[in-house]
Amino acid sequence: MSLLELDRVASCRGSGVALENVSLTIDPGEMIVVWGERRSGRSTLLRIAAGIEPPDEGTVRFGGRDLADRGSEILGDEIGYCRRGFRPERGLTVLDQLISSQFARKVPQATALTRACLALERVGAAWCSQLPARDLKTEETVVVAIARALTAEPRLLVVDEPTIGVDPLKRDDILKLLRSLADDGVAILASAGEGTAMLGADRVLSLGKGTLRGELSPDLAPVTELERHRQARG
Amino acid sequence: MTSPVNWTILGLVIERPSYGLELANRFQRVYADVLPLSGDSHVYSALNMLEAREMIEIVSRTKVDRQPKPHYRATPVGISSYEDWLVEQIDAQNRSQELWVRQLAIFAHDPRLALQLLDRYEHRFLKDAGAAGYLPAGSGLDSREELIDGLVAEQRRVAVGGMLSWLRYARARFEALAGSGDGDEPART
Amino acid sequence: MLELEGVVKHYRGAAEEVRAVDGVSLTIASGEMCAVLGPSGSGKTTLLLLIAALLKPDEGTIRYAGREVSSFSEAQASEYLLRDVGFVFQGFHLMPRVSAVENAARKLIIGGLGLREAHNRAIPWLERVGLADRLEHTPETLSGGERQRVAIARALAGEPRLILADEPTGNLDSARSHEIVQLLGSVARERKAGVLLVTHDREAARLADSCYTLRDGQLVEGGLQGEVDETLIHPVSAATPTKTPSPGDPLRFHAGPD
Repeated sequence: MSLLELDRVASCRGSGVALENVSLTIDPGEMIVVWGERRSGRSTLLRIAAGIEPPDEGTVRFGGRDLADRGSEILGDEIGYCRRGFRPERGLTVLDQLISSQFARKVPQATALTRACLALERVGAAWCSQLPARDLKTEETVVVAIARALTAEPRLLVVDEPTIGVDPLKRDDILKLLRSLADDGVAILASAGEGTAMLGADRVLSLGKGTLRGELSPDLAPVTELERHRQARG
Repeated sequence: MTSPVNWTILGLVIERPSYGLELANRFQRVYADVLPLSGDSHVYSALNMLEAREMIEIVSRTKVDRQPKPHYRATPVGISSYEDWLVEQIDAQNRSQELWVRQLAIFAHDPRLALQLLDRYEHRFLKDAGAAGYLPAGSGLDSREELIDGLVAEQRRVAVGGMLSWLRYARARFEALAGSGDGDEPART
Repeated sequence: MLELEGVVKHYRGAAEEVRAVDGVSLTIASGEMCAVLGPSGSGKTTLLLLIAALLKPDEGTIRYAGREVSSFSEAQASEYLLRDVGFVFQGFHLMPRVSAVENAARKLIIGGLGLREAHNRAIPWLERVGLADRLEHTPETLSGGERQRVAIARALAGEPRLILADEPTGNLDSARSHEIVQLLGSVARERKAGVLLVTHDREAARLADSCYTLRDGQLVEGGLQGEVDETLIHPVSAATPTKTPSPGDPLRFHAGPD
């Protein structure tokens, strides 16, 4: 069973159509990147996939369950979402930010502290845990946003333009991090506006005029594909 | 002088003055996968031509296996000619791109074939996008190899992004052609 | 004191199932320090998360002092983390501009102790880790090794019986690393606590009472002489800083190994 399935999803924006007849399947541990130009509907697609926004037509299924049926049950534990250009709260250190974001899910303090520390370690950002979150550079903010999402141990991480505004020399560290999370079994759905932001993806799709093109569902990928990724990471 | 081999050898001499055999070996190592040579003689005739045009000059004769071999370095004329040639290559690349695009445009008479071909292009670009090499961890202390890898990888990835955008436009044009032929509704914007 | 038997945790990767922990059995006795070597990434971290009751295993048992950790409720898990477990991480995770005493007392305060009581309990631990004359220092004025010692005092102040150390020497030079690991070892013996040291640093592992390597999700004895062939550095962690930060260091992100 696939982890996430979009079935003929459509969404309207004002006078125009943001998404039209979009279908997509994501398996556990896959990294999928959706390329699209500005106003192609990328962010809308990601918000719908993350369950933050309902589609106007079509269905979104996560782990086989229709997201529209979940009612008041919060899906926050299973799908993590990193907004484009996320700006952290003023006044909090990075660590505190990761802790406070867990309180909304009623995670007890000691657990929240441990999870926050481990998440920062996992993304390689432990060194900044005591810095004010606002003092970070763009690439550091993105990595911390990913760590924040990871404290919930999601099965799917949706990241909107993870490398936008990031120093070109630092870009690949973020992409490698996403790839390594995928290798550890966390599926990744990311959007990209540039050719440089798609590296490490198992499948790259293109979104234009509301239509999604490319390999919409996973092939039976040959073993050599994985090797290529290992070599690329190596 | 139009042969890329000649210019490439000039570049190697600019990088580090040397003699024929060493230049041939370096050529092999650095360029074999993008500019294959049939044999070393190619290198020697290039060196003769470059010397004849005063782009390189002999500075000494190195003794290799008791045979004196000429040791070359680039002249100021050689260096500035090399730079000029590199800039001119932009035109050459533009021409070859334009050729490729015009070759697609012959399908104007049958837009559905063009759209099929655009699908194949897109499939290929999307595959390339996920698979190009990672940039080395650029820290300003790159080795030469890392510098080259980084420049090549970035160029390829930026180009893919550009091509995907171009594909959008091309598809829209051919769809409009196909649409007008069948009297379909105009595409929603 | 800590007993793992046949523990399995797997993840669904894109093309295959990744068995991050694939039938691991391990015993750590009171007073013993056990090292687990292996590349950073899923396996070792997963093991720590399982032992810390932050993840549930797919198969197998994890018993701490006879209690089955994997069946803890969220509240029980939190108590366990507060009272029984002390975590030491690679990053020190100290509160800035706040004294060593306040940092070391943090966990006690989370656990509900009053400020004064918490400070009184934290101070002997700071002394035990050799920071008697640094009690009022803030992290910015402490060296990397000293910061890690504050972090250790924080972990130990609650008198845990199980200490989980996740790459504790990652940000330290080799002399400091040696000191820190020895400190953990001697505290373990004194307090009859168990220490699980998860690391890619062979020199650190050498100081433990026992050593294993986590390879393809399974524990194999040894690894100190490189007899288990492993590349211990994961490409992602290779991009993280490994230098000891000095006081006043801007603490910036460096890509590439140091």
